[in-house]
Amino acid sequence: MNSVVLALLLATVADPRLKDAERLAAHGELDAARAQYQTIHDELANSGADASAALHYNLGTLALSADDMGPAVRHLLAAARRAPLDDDIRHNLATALTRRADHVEAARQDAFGARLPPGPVTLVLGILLGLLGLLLAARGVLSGRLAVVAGRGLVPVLVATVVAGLAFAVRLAADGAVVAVVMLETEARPQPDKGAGGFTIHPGLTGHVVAEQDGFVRLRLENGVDVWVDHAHTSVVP
Amino acid sequence: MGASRLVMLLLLSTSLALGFAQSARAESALGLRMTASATTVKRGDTFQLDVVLSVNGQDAVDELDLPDLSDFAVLRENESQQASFSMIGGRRAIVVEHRRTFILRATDVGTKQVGEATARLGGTTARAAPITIRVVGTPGKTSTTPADPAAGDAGASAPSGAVADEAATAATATDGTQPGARFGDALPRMFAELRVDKTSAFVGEQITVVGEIYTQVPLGQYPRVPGQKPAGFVCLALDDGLKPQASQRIVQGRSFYVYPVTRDAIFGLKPGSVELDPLEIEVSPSGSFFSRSQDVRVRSATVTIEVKPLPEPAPPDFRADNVGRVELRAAVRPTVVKVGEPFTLVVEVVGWGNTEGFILPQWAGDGSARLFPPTTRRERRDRDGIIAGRIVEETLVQPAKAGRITIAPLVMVVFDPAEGRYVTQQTAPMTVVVGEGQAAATATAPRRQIIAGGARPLALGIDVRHVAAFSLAPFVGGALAIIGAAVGALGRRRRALRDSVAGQRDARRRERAVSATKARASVNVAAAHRLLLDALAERYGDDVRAADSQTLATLLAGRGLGTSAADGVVAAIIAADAARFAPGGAAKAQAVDNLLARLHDVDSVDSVDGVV
Repeated sequence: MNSVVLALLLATVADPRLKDAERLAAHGELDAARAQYQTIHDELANSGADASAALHYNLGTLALSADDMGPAVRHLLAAARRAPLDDDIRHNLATALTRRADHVEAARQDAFGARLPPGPVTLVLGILLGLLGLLLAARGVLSGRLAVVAGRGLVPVLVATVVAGLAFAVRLAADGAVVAVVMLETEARPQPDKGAGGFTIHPGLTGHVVAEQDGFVRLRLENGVDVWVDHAHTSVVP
Repeated sequence: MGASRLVMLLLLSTSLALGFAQSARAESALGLRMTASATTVKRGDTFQLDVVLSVNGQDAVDELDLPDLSDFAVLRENESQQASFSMIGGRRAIVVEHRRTFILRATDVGTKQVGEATARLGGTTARAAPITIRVVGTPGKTSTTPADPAAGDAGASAPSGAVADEAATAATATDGTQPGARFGDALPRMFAELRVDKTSAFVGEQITVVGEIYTQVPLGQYPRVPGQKPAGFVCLALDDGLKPQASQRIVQGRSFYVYPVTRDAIFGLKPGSVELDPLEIEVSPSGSFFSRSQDVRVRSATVTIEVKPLPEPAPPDFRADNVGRVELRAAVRPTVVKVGEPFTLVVEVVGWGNTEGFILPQWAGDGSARLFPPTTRRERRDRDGIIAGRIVEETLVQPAKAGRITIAPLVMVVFDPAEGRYVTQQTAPMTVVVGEGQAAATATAPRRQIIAGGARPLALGIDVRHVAAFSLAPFVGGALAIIGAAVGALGRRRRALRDSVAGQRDARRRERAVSATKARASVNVAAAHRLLLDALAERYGDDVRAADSQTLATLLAGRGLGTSAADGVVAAIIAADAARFAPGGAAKAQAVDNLLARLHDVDSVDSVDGVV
């Protein structure tokens, strides 16, 4: 019980290190501020908690200011996953993608599901399901004019619920996609073999993880090309 | 209906008005301008032409006609885009600037023209006027008088590791001298040049140093060397968007590939004569199918620079680092505060020169406020080979008492090397009105830190844990839907049952049960009698109402009630008739009980066979 109370307290009381990080950033000590945010992020990860979009945004933005493109793209993609409509996140993510050393032919296009805000989609689906339940109940229990009204409202609500359910499913599918970011300059190879010759890719390049084998991951890059990359040189977007 | 139509009309008119406003804004914010780095050039020289298109908003222009450049050779062309954001009337406005840069070479002597450029967006057309370029020089001849014919061709065919014998010539290659001039007619096939834009400059004045490799055969890989770092100079690599890229140039009638390898701005720190180290580099010409390439080491001549002292006497407010041309601005935000509530004094300098070293004027305070250490932001915006930028210094000021704080004019004295004189920049005095109140707690609140490079600032006061919002909503909604469906189904079933024959009979049975309770309470024999007859008529036919006692027993028994039950019913009716007219209440109560007991029996019959 005490641990639950403590956890609740910790969750509600602002972490003083956040204020420190903000002060450091305000004084231009961006590296120190980044280290502070990173410590908080690592602690959250170790405790199994998920870091917020804002924390990922700050980490990504600070990495961007240091031209550390791998972490910048990874954190900003993670932030965009949590808050796809946030203008600041979208702007800094676009800036980071533009600044990468590798300019792939196809511009990065978010899947439709990835652009749907998870909170509102979930809420709308819940509300529509609830409304559907109420209408079904009213149609069965009420009589006369009220029952007719409930029956007429049932069809549009049912259609809206189906659409919301589809959106929810698409959003879930987008969340399930495993995207990895190249963190270190490395070779992209045609085979999962260190001897296979390839071409050099640079931090910040992203791709969908298609397969894993012998310490390599097979990435489908943004331009559709499949390559094998050393697993240690990539990191999956949380 | 009328009200909804009115609302629709209002919405329609508002959206139309907004649409027109947007379109008017888009149309009024199309701009096109064209600038050339020089309007008089020598034949064979290169110059830069910028075509800048500004669009308010993110619409693409419908049409863009670039200028006619047929009078010039286009050596290089690149595009860039920059967006700037501002808040106008509480809304975010975006201005996108598309810049197309051409590096042109004047090939023929005479008066040439860069043609008109036009752009069209919607109904608006923007035009950039043509630019006239005067090309001077001798027609048809590009070579110049050799500076030192003694210099040999050693660099051109030297094997790997050999050093071209060029250093001894000590010729100065500046803008006024053609490349390779020190070799005279014996121009090697490959040589290095170190060019400076001026050989004499004031302390703190920019000197641009460019290292180039001239070669008649293309190189196998682009040569890389570190920039100039001469002692006694501040050295900055130029970052004006011009990327090192090979071009072709005619020198003494021969075609050379020119590889710019370094491009630096240096600023002298003290007066004196300084000799820049020559550019020395080993380059690899690309081989061919028939011959293998051999590395060649080339070396430029040394360059001597004369750094002149600044004119004396310098004004009292002059700081030695402030050499260049600047514009000084200052502002306070907000101008009305309460005691303890901070305001920000922003001092901004925009200009060219060694912006990394500029020292901005500071306000020392007047004792009525607390000054926090200023934060300084320096942004480089090099243009056309000139180090330029913007420096913003923000000082947080926390007033300690009510009244007015007057910030005296800030003065910055700068030596302008182009004009060769000291220039004083001064801001207007600024006043902040401080009212009574307590807001000290906000004095140390951090502000959003601006991140360089076009990125948006950090988020402040954040929650570090991600909470999946409304994650239970679909489950709750789903449960409600299931419950609702179940309740609805149940309701429909009950209604269907109620509407059926059996349901109606049950309903009447329940009504009779209620009436029976009332009849028993009021000892109403007639009512109890009527209820029993109703029940019998419903189940066994209406004719039972009119039957006498003997006939009734036969009828009921014949229609399935059962003989004993039928006899019991008849006996109860006879007893009730007797009790109705008898004196005393006890017999009536007994009769009512009997009648209702028979009623209960009749209503409890499950099937038509009359089993009770």
